Amino acid sequence: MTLIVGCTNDLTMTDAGTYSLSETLYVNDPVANIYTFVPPTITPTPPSYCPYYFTLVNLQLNGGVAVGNEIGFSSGCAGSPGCATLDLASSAVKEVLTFNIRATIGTSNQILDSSLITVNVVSCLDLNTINNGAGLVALTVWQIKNSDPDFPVDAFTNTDPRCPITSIEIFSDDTGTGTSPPSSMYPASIAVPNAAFNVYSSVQAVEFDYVFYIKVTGTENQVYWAELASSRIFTLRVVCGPLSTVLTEGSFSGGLTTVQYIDKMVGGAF
Amino acid sequence: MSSVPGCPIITYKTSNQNTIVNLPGSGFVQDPTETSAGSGMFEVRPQDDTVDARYDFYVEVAAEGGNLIYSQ
Repeated sequence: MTLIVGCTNDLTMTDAGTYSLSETLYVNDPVANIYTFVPPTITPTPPSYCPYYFTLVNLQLNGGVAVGNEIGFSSGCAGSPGCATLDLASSAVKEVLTFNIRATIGTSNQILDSSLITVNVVSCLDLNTINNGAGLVALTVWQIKNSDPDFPVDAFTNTDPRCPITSIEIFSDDTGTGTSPPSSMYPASIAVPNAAFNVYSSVQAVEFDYVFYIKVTGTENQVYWAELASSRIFTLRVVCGPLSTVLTEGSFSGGLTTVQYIDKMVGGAF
Repeated sequence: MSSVPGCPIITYKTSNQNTIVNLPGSGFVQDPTETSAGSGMFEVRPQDDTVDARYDFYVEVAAEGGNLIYSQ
């Protein structure tokens, strides 16, 4: 017969082995409940006075020393000894956290450390690329007619769906401090930044080269100045065309007709 | 005739045909000239007003951008 008093080493823990060893978040992602650990199995079932609880051990930040508050158990875990859901303190910057989750049974010295778990906060600035649409051209020639000159722009794309394009603006230079939109052009910014759009001149009937630059901004303020063949300059060239001018034959005035007579050697004219 | 401000009429030429500008070798009329700058009135004179002659001619009017019209 055996009487076990309190929490002893007779309770054994076995790693569940079914928890994720890594979790990836993006900068500025929500920080609550970012990871849930699968607790080990305990045999025999521990008595209620020997609850198991978890602690984080061997916490490292970017391969070095961590302060210790970078990650912790969720506030919802308070008072729930078997709760193993983690919150991140912040996702404002990219970082790599590694740690083990240690399970301890009651007041015994029975502990079991999990495999190393990695929480990776990644940045769109490293992972995402913004690209021109296939149909983007540097020059559009517009023949004057009764509508505003129009420069069609194919939709820009990005490689990481977690890092969408957030805005597109039209500038007069590529410093981001120039006029937006450039003089006599519109719009300044594009309403639907992940779709094809058009840039216009508000002057319909004057030959002119409208030069502009396209600033594409992605998640985390990732900036891409549209570029073709190492040039960021885009030109809407407004020119006269065969349909620009309406020509109609007028009529004679002052009694003149299609047949006119003049005398010789007096400087007369039709 | 009418034109948009940026695409004005740029040439007036005489021709003996009303589909292309064609000039006989000699003995024809000169291209139209404006009676005075900005008047919008044009006159056509013979190349040689010392001879008695009849000249049948057309006027081609061309606008910037390529539109053309011939008098009929």
